[in-house]
Amino acid sequence: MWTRVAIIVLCLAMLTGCWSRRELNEILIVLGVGLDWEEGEYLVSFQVVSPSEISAQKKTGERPPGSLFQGRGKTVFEAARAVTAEAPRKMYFGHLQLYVVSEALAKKGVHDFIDNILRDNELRMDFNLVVARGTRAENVLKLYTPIEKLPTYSMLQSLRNSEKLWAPTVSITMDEVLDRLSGDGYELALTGIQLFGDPKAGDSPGNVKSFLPSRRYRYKGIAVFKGDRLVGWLNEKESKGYTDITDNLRSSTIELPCGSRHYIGIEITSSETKMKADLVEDTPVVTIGLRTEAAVVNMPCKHIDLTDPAAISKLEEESALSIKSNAIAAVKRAKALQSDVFGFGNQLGKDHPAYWKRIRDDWNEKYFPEAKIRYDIKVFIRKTGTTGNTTLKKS
Amino acid sequence: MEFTNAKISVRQFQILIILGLTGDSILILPTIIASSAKQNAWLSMLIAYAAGLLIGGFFAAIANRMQGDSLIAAARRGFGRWLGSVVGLLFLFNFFMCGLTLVSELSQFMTTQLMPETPVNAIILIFLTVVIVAYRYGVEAFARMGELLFPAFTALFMVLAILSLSQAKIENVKPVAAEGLWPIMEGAIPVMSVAFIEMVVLLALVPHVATNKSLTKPILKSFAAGGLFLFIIVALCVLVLGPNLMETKYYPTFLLAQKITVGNFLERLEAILAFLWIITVFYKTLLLFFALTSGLAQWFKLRDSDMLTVPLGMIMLVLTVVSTPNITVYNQIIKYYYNWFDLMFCFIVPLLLLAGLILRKKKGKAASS
Repeated sequence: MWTRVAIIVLCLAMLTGCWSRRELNEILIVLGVGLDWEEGEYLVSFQVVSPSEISAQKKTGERPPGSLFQGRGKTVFEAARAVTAEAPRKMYFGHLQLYVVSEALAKKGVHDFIDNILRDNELRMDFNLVVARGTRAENVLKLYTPIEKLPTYSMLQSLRNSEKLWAPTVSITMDEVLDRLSGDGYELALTGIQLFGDPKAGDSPGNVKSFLPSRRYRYKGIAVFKGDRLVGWLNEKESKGYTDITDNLRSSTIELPCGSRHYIGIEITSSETKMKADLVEDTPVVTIGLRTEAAVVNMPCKHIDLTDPAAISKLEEESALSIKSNAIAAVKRAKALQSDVFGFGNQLGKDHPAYWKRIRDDWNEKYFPEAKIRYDIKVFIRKTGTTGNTTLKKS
Repeated sequence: MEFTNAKISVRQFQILIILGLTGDSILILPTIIASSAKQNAWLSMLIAYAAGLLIGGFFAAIANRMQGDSLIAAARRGFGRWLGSVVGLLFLFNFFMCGLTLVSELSQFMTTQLMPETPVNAIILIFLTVVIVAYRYGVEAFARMGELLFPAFTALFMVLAILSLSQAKIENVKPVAAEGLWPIMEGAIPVMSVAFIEMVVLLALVPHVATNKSLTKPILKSFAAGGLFLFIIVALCVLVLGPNLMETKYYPTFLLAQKITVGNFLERLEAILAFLWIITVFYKTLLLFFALTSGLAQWFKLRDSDMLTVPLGMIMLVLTVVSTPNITVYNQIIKYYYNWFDLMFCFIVPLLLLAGLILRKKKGKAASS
């Protein structure tokens, strides 16, 4: 009897709590991480939520919706721990949404800190990576943004929406980054984020008090990596070509000139890319098959008769040419950078493993720039909006 | 003897085999296979599956010849008192070592993925306490519990499989068998050993199964079911994660669970799905512990085995920590030595037993005629 009581009491004494438990009021929820490289050290900026400011009931409005904590260190981990010297709580990374890497650091190589991310148990693999183009990563994370209170959330949504609806951006998540950096024949490409407007205005609440904030962000260009280093950027046209080829395109716009300074607007409503690699006389030939469904959304030119099926097929042809020119531009640029961001090599490895095994080490430098790319692009214009020919008068 | 009084139904026996077969394999196998077979891991799995069914048939052949004897008694019947005891001891040694790897695995998983700041000892202590408690309730009780947990296991498995299926990319399996057959075979060996031949532990359950019929069919059925679970997991890992992630990350199945997102609201399910392999690892450990403790009691001809449980648990706790001080040592053991250990103790030793039982029977027949 007494032994039982003793055991129960002992158990109660031991089971007062549990290890590794972390209450909500003891953690800082990190939403965004910004990495800069400064004087041989990482400068890591952590954007954390300030829960009382984003809750619907009790907000004071006096403080920003989040805070930025910064730490320095030879490794990102050291920097993260160094932050505790100025932050009241320990950081929690389970809800991380955006990882901003400065352009300078990307040029130096991303391998070192990616390894740290890979090992960590708290980080999930579903956050996005972007490159801060022409600015420091910390500046991106302390921007006041309109509509959404938290800049990381605003940037994340914008990245996902623009990938879906506009095309020259790609939202690459951590697991894809790992995959690209581990495998051969498929180099990493990340979207760049740029800040513009008045540099002083960004980190004060005044920025969002006007209709057009004086400092804003914008996704611009796709950063091309070779191995783990940034080697160059794709411009908007090339970026569109990149998303077309890599089957990231869902919806986008095409503008076809008609007459002087008038443009026909075509909306791509869905698109599917298939890639195939062949060997012709021992040289690789990659065929990109693109099937796109589109609709006419804007027709300012009277001389094109939208009720005539022949006109539609002509528009289809021209749209296909426009897509093709984007793709050609992208491939040309990538070839110049000697970095196979499209995964042609990867495809070759799948279709012709024996050949790929032989050339994989020289692919980027020797074979990729000389590889032949064939384009098989078909555009189907299915609709012309809610009208046929317009009756609007034109001067 | 009191051990053989406890009876479990054939259905419970099958469920215990399925849970044990899925065991730790569900968690660690994808990485091990992918390290040699890469995107062909599913092929390795398929080959191992076929071999696994043969192994199931082999175990069934032994089980049918045990005639209600316990494993130790059967060994003594087959080889005589002295040699039989040695063979029995080899079995017990295997159960013990196998139990160590499982406890080590679970504690490593818990401390790497879920509770990094908790000392391993605490996790092992609690885990083993539950195992001991379950053992003390007896095989009838934990077999019934297995029957109860099995629907939960299947439900969680279905959630994992169906929800991650949407992210499967068929291109991930290409190129098929480009590196030849050898890497695929190399990937198949650990599956064969860790998943299938370690199930030699089912022989300890055989005397408790309440049936007079042949056990071949039930054993083959449960091997087929357990193998199917593993095949689905490996195939999903290849299709969803791709060979690179599958190879680098220690627990691809956990990653698979992390990848699940349905409409931005059904996500972060990994902690719930972790319950899946906690059930299976628990049952495999429990079966091994059961085989070890009851076997040891029979070996020494003890009337009561309960007093062995706590000391054995303590030894396991200490040896787990000592024998696998870090994950690198553990992985090295698993990768380079463990297959051969398994082959030796879970295949050759049972093979000896089978031979002994067959020969003894022939001799007995010859003597009686």
